Amino acid sequence: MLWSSKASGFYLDSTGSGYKAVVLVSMVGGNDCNSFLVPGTASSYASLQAQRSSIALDLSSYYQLYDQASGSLYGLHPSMKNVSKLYAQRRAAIVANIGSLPRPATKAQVLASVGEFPGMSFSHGQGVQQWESGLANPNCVSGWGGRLADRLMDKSGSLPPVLSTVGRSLFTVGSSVQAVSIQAGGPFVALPEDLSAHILQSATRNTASGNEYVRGVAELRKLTMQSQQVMTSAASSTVFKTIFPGTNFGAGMKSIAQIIGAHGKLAASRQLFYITQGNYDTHANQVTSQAASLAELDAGLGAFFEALAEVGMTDQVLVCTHSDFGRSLLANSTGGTDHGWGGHQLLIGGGINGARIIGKLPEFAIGGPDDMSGNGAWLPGQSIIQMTAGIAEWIGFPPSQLNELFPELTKFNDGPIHLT
Amino acid sequence: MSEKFKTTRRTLAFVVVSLSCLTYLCGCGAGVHSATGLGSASGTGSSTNGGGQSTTSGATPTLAIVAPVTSVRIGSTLTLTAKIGDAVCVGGKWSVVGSSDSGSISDGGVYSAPPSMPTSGTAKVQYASNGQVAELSLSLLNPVPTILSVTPDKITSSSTTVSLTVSGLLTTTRLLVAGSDIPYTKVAGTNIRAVLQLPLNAPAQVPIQLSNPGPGTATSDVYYMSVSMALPKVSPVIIPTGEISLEITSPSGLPAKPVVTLDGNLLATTQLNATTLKATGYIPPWKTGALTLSLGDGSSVCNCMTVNVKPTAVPYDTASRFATQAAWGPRQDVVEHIQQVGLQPWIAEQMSMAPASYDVTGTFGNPRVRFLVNATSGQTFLRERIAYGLQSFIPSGGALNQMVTLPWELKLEQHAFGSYKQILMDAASTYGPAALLNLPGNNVRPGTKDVPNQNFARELLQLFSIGPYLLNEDGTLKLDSANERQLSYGPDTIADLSRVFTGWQAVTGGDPVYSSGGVDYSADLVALESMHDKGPKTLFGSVLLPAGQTAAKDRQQAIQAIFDHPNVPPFVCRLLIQRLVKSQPTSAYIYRVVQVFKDDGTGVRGNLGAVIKAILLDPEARAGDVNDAGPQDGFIQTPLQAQLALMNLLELKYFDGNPIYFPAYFGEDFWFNWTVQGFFSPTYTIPGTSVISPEFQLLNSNTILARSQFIYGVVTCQQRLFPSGNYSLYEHFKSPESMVEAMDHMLYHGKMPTATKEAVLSLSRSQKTLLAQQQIAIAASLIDDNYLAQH
Repeated sequence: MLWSSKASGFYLDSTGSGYKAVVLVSMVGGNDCNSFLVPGTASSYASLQAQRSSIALDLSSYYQLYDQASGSLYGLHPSMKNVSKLYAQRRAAIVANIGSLPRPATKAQVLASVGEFPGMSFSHGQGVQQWESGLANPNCVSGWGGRLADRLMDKSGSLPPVLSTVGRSLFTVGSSVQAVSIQAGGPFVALPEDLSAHILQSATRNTASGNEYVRGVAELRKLTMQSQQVMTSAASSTVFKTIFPGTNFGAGMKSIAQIIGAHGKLAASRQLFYITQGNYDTHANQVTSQAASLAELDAGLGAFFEALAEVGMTDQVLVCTHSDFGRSLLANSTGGTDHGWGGHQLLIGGGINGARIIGKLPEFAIGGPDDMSGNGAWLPGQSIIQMTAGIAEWIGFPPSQLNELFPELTKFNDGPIHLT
Repeated sequence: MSEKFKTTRRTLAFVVVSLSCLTYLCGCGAGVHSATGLGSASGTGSSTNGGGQSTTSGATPTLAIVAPVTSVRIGSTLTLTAKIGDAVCVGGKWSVVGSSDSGSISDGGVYSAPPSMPTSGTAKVQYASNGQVAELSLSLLNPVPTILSVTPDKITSSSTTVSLTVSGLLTTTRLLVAGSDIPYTKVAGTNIRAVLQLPLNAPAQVPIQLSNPGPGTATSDVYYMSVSMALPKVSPVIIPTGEISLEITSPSGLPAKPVVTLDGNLLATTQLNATTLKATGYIPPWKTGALTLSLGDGSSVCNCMTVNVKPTAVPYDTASRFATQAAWGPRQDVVEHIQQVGLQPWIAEQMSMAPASYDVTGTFGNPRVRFLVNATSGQTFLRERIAYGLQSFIPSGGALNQMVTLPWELKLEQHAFGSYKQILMDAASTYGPAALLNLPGNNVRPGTKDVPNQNFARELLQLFSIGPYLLNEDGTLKLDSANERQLSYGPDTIADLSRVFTGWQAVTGGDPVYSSGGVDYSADLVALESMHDKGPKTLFGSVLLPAGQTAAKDRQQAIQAIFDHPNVPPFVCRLLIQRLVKSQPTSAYIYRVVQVFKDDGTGVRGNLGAVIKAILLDPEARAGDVNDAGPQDGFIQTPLQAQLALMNLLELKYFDGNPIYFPAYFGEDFWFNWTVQGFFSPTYTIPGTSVISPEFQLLNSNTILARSQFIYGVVTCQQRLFPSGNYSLYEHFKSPESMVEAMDHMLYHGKMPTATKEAVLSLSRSQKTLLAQQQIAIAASLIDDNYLAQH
């Protein structure tokens, strides 16, 4: 598909209130949920702290969050300064103890049918795949961003609906859509015009190759060569006063904000962005390394929402997080934690009904009803499917399409997590 | 009667004239005149003088010169007659009018043309009698040349001086040999000498002819020169490819400026003596069979010799493809060596070679630089490929410190053809991979609720050996009776295995080259028994490790139990096939290799040497040598593989440290893993398809563009911080056509699609200089999708 050919035909609600974008931030390696969001009162925190005393932080260092629905207090990790402000402004919510679940299940039900629950592999590969697919199938070949994008092709203007600052992931993979990378510029010489034209022509021809590897490369290359110019010229037209952090994540969020700012020029009314961040696989020295990763996340998100406010688009852009899995309650001998299952995720912006803790924390008990591993890997209380379907609903997909996009959604009586 | 009469009259007239010129004796009949003479008779005015004196009836007769023809060849004669009417005049005065170089005429009217052509090209003759004058203009023609004799009478040499005795020679006379002009020199009036350069394969008779130009163009009769030459011979008649040197002996002599081509490619020549020359040049290694060797002189060519390319063990294209699987791509010395020895002997040779040295104290002190040097200049590629393959799923924490990477690489290269059990033991005892998974310092913590770190225990099973789900021997999932996948192990096994791996410590204060922060990365981990969990452990529900064992004993028994797990052969074989041959082996291929893993034929399990040989020589691996690749054959080159292929193609052997940093731009900071996930997942599929392609995970619109830019920059010597070279490619392939042919074989093992060839050729031809033509042909061939996806 030539995206440029779509631009004129679907220049519909591409400006103003008709625009919506989702930015997925994947927190690489599995964020330790048990120090990220904690019970907010001293009495409720004490049991958690006691069970992982070697790595637990002091509750007083946490940002206090209040959840009106339950009337409960929570603590948000001390690195999360900007996000805690956004929460206070009712622009942010946290989904608690969520993970890969094909159906609601108790510990006993999971243990009776372990093969059905990919989360029980406690593996990075499976964890990332579950989150990015928005399914609970161990062999996913498409991502939820890609599947949504397949249905948004007529709303993304002259670029594909999925864009990634860090390359491709399962998230961006649909049946007909390929993501485009946002170029960060680099140390390489520009291709001369005749060679560029040759590459595009060759790639176009090679999309008909009999070999699937050649075809796969050619499809990507063709789209790349077509899209680069469109994107680069659009992004460079957006200028913000906000100064983004000089980190990779900051640079990526800046590029995303620039493209969002140029959505009118691109004739796009729906866009999905993907970016990865941090290194949360904290098997050792978790206290320091998790704090550093979260601080980078928080600074980038802070700048991003400041820039969106400049162009009045805070309520049109939704940021959500993923992370491979939560981590074990018990600390290990090297000052870290091991792979878990359920964890907590952020939802920010998008005009959502914020200042909520959606769902509840697990029962912090080794051998308890939520402990699936003996060291505190939590059985999720909510499924990835519900959160992802909620995001799709926010984008504007009707219930019938939600069930099609997320076939297992019907197994959850509560349905999608409603964001607004 | 009339003839007789005339004669009589003529004689009579002659006599009369000789006595006195009696005009009345000139009986000039009507209609008998020379047109030229009449027309040009300046004595027209005087014709009235004789008019009345005519004895004949009719109109007034006029004096005229009558000629049978009006053109005369140089050097020949023409008899003219003066008449008045029918009457022949005698006794008048014949003369040639004008310059003396236009010939002469006798009293009897015999005109002799001059020996050479006057400037005017004509002659005017005059006859005057009794006050009357007639004139006639004659055109002069060049003479007819004649070859009277030729010496020698037979040609036995390609270059022979011949003497010809000729007549009718002009300065403009051409000497034609077999229809072509050749120069000659005039020796004497009727002798010319010429050097005949004949092709060595000239016919038995060569026609020689002289030709004079107009006016009066004329050629001589053809003289057929007998030719009898011995054909040249070449030595040797069986040649290797590559740089060659031939001796051509031509008993019949050599052309003055010999032009020697082999299979259409020009060779350089040096004349050794009158009949022998040496021809040197380059024969691309993909040439096979009989090649025509031609000896020519610049205009004619004798395609009269043949040399045969020495047969090789396998075709070049097979070797070239094999080098993408078992070595580092298009390094010419390597490909040609494989071509010479054959696949299986080459594998045996590789396995018999000791690992390359990594001298980290010298100029190339950085271990990764040393690796690039070995891959571009060394000889132990198969070890390097296996180590690289194992690093992809058993990474070491190189990002911690570059010296962490080397001990791991050294072990993998050392044990590349040994037992897989040894590899597992290496992973558990070497700092790099162990530290990435927090094994060193994973100690029991008496008096706390802390449990051992599970990182190493889990990934040892999940990523290095068994995988999360039970497999059949053909690599497919082993489902239970309810058609569900089955976990290979449970949390209890992980918990107990994490207890097995307690008590191990990094060594401090050892080899300073490998030390940083007090840790010696090159030293195997050592056990501190007091930090080891001494309790009993159960693995896989059935393997019992009794209480009280040492850390080493527990480790050894645990690794044995893992190694014996039925998942290990299909799990490991699939990964190794992916790293060498194809991303998506069929289950039949996996099954065949798994049988070798289970038993190498001598009852040994996990013999990597035997497994690698089985992988590389399997019919499925070799099918693409002859046939076109199947729809799902092949793999995407990793950034490091692509870079090494580029460097090897361009012979970039000398460089500083900078090239090691380039794969990271494309997502593969080789050896420097931050996480145990490595750089790609072995189950990654090409988006939108179910085609497994781990390396495709590193491709996105950013990297695919940057990789193209990188290739273009290196080939055109514009890439900052990357070496450029003096490439022999540019010497060997000096046209767009030959360069594209070279790329077809060197990069595409002869299977570059026709449309690709045409497109690259057209792009190359459109460049302004030969160098630009060569460079863009190389760059475009390297960038193309059909090359990035090797198949």
